[in-house]
Amino acid sequence: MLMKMFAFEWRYFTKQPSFYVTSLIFFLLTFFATVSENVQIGGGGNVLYNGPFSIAQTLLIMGLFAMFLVVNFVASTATRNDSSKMSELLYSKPINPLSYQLGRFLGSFAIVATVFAFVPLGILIGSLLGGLVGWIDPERLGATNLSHYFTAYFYLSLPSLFVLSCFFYAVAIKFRSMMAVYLSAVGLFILYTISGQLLNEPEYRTMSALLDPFALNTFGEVTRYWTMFDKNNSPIELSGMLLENRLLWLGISVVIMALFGGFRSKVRLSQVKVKKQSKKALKKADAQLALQTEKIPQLLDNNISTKSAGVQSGAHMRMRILFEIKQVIFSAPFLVLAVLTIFMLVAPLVDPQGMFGTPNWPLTQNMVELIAGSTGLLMMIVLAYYSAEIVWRERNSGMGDIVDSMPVNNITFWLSKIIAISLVLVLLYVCGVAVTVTNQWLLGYNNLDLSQYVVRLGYLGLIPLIFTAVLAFFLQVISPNKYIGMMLFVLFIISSITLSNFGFSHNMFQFSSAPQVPYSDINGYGSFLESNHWYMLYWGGVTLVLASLTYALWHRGPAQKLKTRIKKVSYYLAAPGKVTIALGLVLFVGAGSVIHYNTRVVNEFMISDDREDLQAAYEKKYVEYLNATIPTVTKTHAKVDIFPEERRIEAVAELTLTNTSNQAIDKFLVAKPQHTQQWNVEIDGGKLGEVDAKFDTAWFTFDQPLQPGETRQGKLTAIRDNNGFTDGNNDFNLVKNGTFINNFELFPVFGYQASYQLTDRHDRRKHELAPLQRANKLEDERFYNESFFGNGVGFIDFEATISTSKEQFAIAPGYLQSEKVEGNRKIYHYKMDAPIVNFYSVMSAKLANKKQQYKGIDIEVYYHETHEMNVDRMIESVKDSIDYFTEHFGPYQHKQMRIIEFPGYRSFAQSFANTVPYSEKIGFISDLRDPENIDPAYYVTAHEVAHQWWGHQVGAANVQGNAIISESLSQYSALMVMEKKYGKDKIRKFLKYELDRYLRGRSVEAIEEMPLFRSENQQYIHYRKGSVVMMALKDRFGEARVNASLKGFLEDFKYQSTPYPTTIDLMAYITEGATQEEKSFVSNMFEHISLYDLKTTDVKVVAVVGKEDFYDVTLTIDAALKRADGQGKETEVEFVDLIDIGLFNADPEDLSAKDFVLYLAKHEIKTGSNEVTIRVQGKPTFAGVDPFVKYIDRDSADNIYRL
Amino acid sequence: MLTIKNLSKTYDNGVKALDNVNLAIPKGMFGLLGPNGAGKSSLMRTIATLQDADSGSIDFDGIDVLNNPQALRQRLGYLPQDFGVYPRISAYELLDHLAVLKGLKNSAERKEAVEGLLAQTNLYQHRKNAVSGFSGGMRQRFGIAQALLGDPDLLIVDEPTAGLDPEERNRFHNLLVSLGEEKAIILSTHIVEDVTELCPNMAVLASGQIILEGNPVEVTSQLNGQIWRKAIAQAEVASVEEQYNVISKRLFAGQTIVHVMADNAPLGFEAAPANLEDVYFSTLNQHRSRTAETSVETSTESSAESSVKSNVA
Repeated sequence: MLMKMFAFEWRYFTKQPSFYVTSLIFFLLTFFATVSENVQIGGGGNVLYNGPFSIAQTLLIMGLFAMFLVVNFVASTATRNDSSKMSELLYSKPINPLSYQLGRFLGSFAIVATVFAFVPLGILIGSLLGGLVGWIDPERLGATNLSHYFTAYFYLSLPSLFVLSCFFYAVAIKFRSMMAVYLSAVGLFILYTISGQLLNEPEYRTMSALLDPFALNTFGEVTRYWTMFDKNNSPIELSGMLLENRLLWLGISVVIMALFGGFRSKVRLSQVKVKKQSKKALKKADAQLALQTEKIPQLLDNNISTKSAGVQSGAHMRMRILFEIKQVIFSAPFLVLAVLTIFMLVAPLVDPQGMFGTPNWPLTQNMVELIAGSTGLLMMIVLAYYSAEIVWRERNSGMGDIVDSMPVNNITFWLSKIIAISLVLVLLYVCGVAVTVTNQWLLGYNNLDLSQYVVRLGYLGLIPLIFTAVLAFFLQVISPNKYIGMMLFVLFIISSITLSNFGFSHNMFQFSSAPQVPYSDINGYGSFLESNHWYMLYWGGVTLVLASLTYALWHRGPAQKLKTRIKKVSYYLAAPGKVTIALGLVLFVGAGSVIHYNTRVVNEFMISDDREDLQAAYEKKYVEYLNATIPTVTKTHAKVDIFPEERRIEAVAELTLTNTSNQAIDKFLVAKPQHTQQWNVEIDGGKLGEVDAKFDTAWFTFDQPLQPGETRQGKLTAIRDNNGFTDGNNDFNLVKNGTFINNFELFPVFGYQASYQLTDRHDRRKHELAPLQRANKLEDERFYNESFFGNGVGFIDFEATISTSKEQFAIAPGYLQSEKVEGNRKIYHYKMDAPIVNFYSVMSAKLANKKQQYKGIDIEVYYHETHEMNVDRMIESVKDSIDYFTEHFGPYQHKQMRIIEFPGYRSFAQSFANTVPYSEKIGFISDLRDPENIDPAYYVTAHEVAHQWWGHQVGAANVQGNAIISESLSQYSALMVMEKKYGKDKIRKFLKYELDRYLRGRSVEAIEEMPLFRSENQQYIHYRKGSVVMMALKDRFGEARVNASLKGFLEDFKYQSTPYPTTIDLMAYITEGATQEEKSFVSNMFEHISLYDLKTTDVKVVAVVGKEDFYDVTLTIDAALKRADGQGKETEVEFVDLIDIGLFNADPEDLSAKDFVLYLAKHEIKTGSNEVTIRVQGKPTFAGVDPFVKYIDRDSADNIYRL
Repeated sequence: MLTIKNLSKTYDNGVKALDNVNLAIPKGMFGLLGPNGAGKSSLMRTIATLQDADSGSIDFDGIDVLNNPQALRQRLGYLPQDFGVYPRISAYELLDHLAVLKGLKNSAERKEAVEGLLAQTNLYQHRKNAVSGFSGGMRQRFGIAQALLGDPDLLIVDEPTAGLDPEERNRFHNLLVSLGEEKAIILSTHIVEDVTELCPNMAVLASGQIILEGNPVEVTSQLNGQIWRKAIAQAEVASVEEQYNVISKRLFAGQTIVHVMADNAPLGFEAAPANLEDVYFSTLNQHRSRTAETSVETSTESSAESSVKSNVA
């Protein structure tokens, strides 16, 4: 019986198209993810495509989608007898429930397992074929090791599938309805995402790893800090947390099946609910009788021969639209979708993940992005599902023959259905907006800006979706059944993702897509909406053609072949349809021409492959001039006229140049700035040669070479212009409101442009380029006279004359000398009194401002009027920073500090001399009302102010580690200011984030992790590890000593450019007068990738006899220090160090606890097992080593021992 | 009124559903008889604009049906053999919905027609219930009601009385007859009795071909004096079948009544008045033996069984 039922299920499903369709989809998804660079499921960074980590991760992520599989196969098995009306035939047979149900269950589970096996198969074939044909860089593939596929499939996927199958089978058996299963699937999904969100906090990670039926979090936890080496070599082991998780869920699923799988009860028909006879019903019966005897005889005489008045387009349309809407909206799937939409939004809103865990204010621009982002995939599912459901409604209900033979125009069916599906999309967005508006209201944010919801969701979001719905309908109509139609739609989605791989990345090739329309509160839609209109006209034309063809090909009658229907196209189109098609074609060609002209003729468009080729060719042609000497600017007067409305800048920079090298310069390379047609470089005694148009590069040749030390006058000119529109390559520097451009972007730049080089290792291999040297060697003294801004960038005397339109103000580094209005132009003259690095910004915007004077320093913040929330906090941060830095490092070189908000197209803050452009996406919008949270506005401001010292007063040589001097020291300085204001607990919280981000950063390193002092512009090192190391140093050496070292370093290298300092210099100041132990500590931190493994294995507490409330506490501590190489391979080294030992009466992880420290002091800890005994007053409940995680430790949870 | 010329249709799987069908259907009731799978529904669907033919033409009152289906749909009433309904919609609502689709635009007239038809089909008291919850017979009556909407000039009903109890069947027949003689009504059925009772004209369709066409009374009278019957025991059936040209057999009070066709009375048989059923079965038998012969001629691998049958015939 069991085997028979098993075999029956197997045969049944292998005959269903859905088996093949889903298998194919699962196969194609992972296949394409493997062979194409645009689709990525697992992996990332330098992980081998067929390595154990990316196989496992891909399988886990696809496991989430497997929920649909299980519902489709297992649950439909459970309900099939009822749904196919077989139950009466079956249940009258003598059936043993156990073997019957179990056989069916296992049969359908086997199907699910088989379909899912196509996931690893897709990776396997993808990697084999991709490697063979050359789609994949062989370096991205390891040796094919089948055991990786098997372990991932059997350890990770199969148990998850089993859990899901048991759960959904039980639900289906219990409720005998697919709808119940769908609802529980959605419920499970919601529960999963929400708990995932809430359990994401570090303290709950273990719990979420254990409780995750999909094992996604479990795997994430196990591999959290895996380096590249681990990811490509460590097999997945069924042990520890993963084993516990799998056993737990196997147990749970067996229990579910045993209790609810229907094994114990007899198989029987579902109970029919019989309505009770009530008085009401009796009354009703009376009424029926009256009807029977009085009303009906009259009705029999009714005139039933009213003739059909023919096709009633208007009336038909009205009725069918209402009908379709009713069918769609008042159905369980729609409610499920609405609930799903709401919950998908609620989770990120309840626990918004801002900078350092601090939420942002719910700005409408972010809310819109949240809605669009979180519903993106859902909308595609909606389109796939509903287009099938709606188009085939007549066929599926069995009503098709009747309805189709009615005198109704095809367009009536089509239009009513397209309106219904559009309404679904609209309503889902409305649900989303309702949620976010409620959220805004709850959070007390009342700048709702509803028009943004309308324009960005209603126009930018919805119109392309509706076009896609028309396409989905078309695909359904040309298909013989809804499954093929759905498959075609899925293929369309896959193709739209992969098309750009084959060079079709222009939006004109991607159905219904247009270049992104970025939004900024400062600049609004800028000028980006216009291009969107053209693209929508273009796709609207295609859509009109598709729409007409769809209704002309509409299924009338039981599925007729496409060929037969094509014969009738002309008949059903009739004149209006043909006119529509013509109109569509006119739009398509017309708007298409406009787009082509603008994006390819007026502006440049290049697909990424061509761009790469060009980059490679540039490098090959010019790389020999990488370190060629170029003139250094020593004095600049920039004259910049900004025309914001036209998005145009006319700029001239009058320069004084010199040759700082020891050899004459007879020629040097010049690169043309972007978006600039007219430009020139004029220097006495030379001229700009022919422009190499391919690379936008020219040689400047001196007739009389520029001799070492010689000074000449020169002039740079550039007219930056934005004409027409582009296909996404937008000029975000020059916008209608919020222009922010620096001199390297505005003016022609000298020398070989290293930034043009390909950076991706695989791209470089493809173009036969040697691995990129990210930075010059630390020891290479040739670069000690070059600043970290690059060759030829030194300190300058600066002056700027900037004009802009009357409505805006313009700003550049320096002090305002004059401000005047001439006609409709405002003209500003700025002049700097101290030398600045030749790196300056020019900005123009219309903003509100707040100014304060503090100790003779003008503090100014320019901000968008709706972003005033944290302006005072920023000013406070500037004051605190200037105080602390002045006291500990030296005086501030300027008399002004200005913070200027710029549009959020870019999200960073950047420190120029006395000027800090600051993106609207960060800091300004942080919601600082909860004092428990870290204050990003205060922190970022302090960091940028610190750059006035680190970076602007003291530079760094253009060698490895330069960012340590500018960034890590700024991080340290900012943290010290923060510590003074917010206390040590906040810093601990901050450092936890920093440590986590460092460890995660190194786990996705693309080339090689460097030790701190050799950091090669690696952000996770110079920011994240920099914070951790500098604060550990401060903990070890004390604030005064560290600050004194830094002060000495600063004083000695202030404004010095021959040579600039390096990290070797910095470390010399730090280790000055240090003991051997301290030196080895610094060496471990700076010169090596050191990972401490500190662990409290045992704690014994013994009450001291005769002394009340005194205890002897003995801790056993295992200690190890591991050194990792650049790929993360570790070797152990001996160490001895002074490390914190702490005893507490509350969890030290709990940041809200107060006065919980019973004992905290440094003890000598060495490699191996250590025993430490401490006498303490008060009984400790927690004890541990390095309790506040000052050392870099991959598993800091085991530092603490809970008593 | 309806003229079908050379209509042929072959499905993808090679089945010839319609094989050069020629029919002239006048006003009034027209019965289309045929066994299961004869192509009746294919023909009905083709006339009802739901399916295209490979070749041939259909003309209704000057409308080229195959090329201008929309024009016919205004004058058409169609009851498919098998149909479902939209879920969760009451009988009244659904019929009203279909009435709108049919083109009854005046709402008062529509209401009158809808209520009248619900009463005629004895569904009025159930009008507020969802059609999807109706029993088979009730649903069939609903199908009839919707087919009659808009007083169609061409009414095509495919197996209309299947699943109806005798009372409802009578009611329906009366309704059909009362609809008048001004319209063409095609009644497709495998129940000979229905045709006998209702149709002045009829045709028999088998394997996609028209094998008989005419007035039931006339075609029946041709067989008068050739039909003989005998009540025999079940066990004798086989030998009788071997001996005579048996055209039908049915059970009556536990015995099998066989009808045979012969010019003279076989031994022990009594004369029976010819009825349409005899005509139908004898025509079918003849047709089958003909096709069996052709298949013998065309296929060398043909079974012995079919040649035995042809001998019997």
